[in-house]
Amino acid sequence: MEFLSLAFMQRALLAALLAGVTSPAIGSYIVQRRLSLLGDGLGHVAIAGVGLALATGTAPLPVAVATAIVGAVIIELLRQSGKASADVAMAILFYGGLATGVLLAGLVGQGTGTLSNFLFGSLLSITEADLWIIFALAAVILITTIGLMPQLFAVCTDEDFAKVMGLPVRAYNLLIVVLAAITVTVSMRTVGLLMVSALMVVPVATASNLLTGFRRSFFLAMALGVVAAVAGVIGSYYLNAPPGSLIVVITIAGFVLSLPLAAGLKRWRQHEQVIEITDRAPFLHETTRPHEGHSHGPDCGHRAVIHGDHTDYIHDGHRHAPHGDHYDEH
Amino acid sequence: MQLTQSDSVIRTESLLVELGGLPILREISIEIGRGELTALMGGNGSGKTTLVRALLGLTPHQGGRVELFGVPAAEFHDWRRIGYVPQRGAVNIKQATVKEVVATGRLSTRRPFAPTSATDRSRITAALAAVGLADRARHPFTQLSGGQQQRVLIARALAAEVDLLVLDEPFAGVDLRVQDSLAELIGGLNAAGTTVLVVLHETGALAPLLTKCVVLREGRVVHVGAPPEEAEHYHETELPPERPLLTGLIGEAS
Repeated sequence: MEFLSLAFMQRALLAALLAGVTSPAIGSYIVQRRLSLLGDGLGHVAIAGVGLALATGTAPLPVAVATAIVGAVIIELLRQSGKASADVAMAILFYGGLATGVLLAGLVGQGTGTLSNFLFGSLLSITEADLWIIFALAAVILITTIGLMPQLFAVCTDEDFAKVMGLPVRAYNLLIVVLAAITVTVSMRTVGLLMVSALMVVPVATASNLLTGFRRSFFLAMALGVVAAVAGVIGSYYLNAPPGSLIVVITIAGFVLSLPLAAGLKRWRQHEQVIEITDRAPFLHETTRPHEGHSHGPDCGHRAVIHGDHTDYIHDGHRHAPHGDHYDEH
Repeated sequence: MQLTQSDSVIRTESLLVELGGLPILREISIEIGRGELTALMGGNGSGKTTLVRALLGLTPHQGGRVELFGVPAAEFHDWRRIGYVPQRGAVNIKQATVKEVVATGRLSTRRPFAPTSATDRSRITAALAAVGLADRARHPFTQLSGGQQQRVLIARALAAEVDLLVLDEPFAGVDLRVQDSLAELIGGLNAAGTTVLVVLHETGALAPLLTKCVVLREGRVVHVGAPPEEAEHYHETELPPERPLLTGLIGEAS
């Protein structure tokens, strides 16, 4: 644990913690809105900001924040315009951002080596000034994504309904992409601009495999993000690898592990299964043999299935429905 | 019949709606009074969904007037009085419990950053009870059957302080028995004093409960008044017969 006494590692761990907690927070809304690749695009746009900062000799983080926010606003306005060409315009914006960044960095003799610190994350490059900015931006992201959870959730799930309730839907949509842009730049030092999208999306997918409900999986995704980001930074110290790659590999390993767990949980939650009545003329009631010493109920051990307006219990391969003093065969 | 201002819930005057430069609705003048249960009917492409969207301000109108509760639509801000139940297919819920979905119905009264109040909680519980799903509050929305999802969306609309409930094709994609139970629910809400406007493809189970029927054809009102005697299909006659059946099953594209 000697890395804890190294100042650069302390900074890297704090930055990782903040990236891990903020990325899945905004990612939950982006996934709900089916815009999982938005973070990737914003990362590409932010590269232009980094290139500009390297070319002009200014601090990269504030320039990247500004560039990503401008890009986010353009993306959202294009999306709201609803034009078919918006798709192509976004692709141009994304690759234009990447190319501009690489070009500007190259022009001033800062090769892809310096740039790759921002693309894949780096333990050594985080300054104390960066950390303060990251801390302030992370606070903004957390306060908004948690405080406005009902509003943002409503806008992401059903825009029309949100409008009829009088919510300023356009403003909230803009807020989501701007927050995503800020998150991308918050995470760029640790995860890197090319991989930040994974930390926004994968923990959310893992959490929704394991828990039901938006709020519960929102907080689980944040916890998973923190574990992956911090573990990735510690691991990369020992492996001498860029932290971003390790963080992403850990998040994806978590997702893969969640699949068998989710299957197990599903079996455990089988009482939630529903069979819809689709037959307008169901079979006539058929009384089962009497159940001696056993009555079906929520804890009887038999698998329960919701069948239209009542519950059946699976018993010897049949569905038994309680009906008065006896059971019907379904 | 001219209703007094306080009794009018929805009123339009020569409403014109164009989409992409084409007139979709023309000369729509309708009036829906307090306590009515009105069906808005018409074939595919007759403009039913567009009219509902125009009434709710989701689609802009290019001419005429819309009044909600006697107030011109542009000046109307009392959104808590309106509950909207969109077509089930338009809802994009991936990961949420029934309760979380219904809770979003409180947002017309709830302020940003405000925590859930006791009133919010009791309205959410009451709305779930009203649709008969009180025991499903913690259930994932996506795992419910079509009819149950429709009930959740109705509960979401009821969670505000609703005087007017607008439903867009609530029967799309649910079987006849579920249609009957939804009709019973809608009729019960209307009997309890809620004004209801429901977009329908055919009157079906709601037929005996309707107080008024507005029929659209090619963007114009062709009938206002008593509901038809028998359950009728308002589809264009030249359409192949399987068409209305298919749209009934898979829901109609707006």
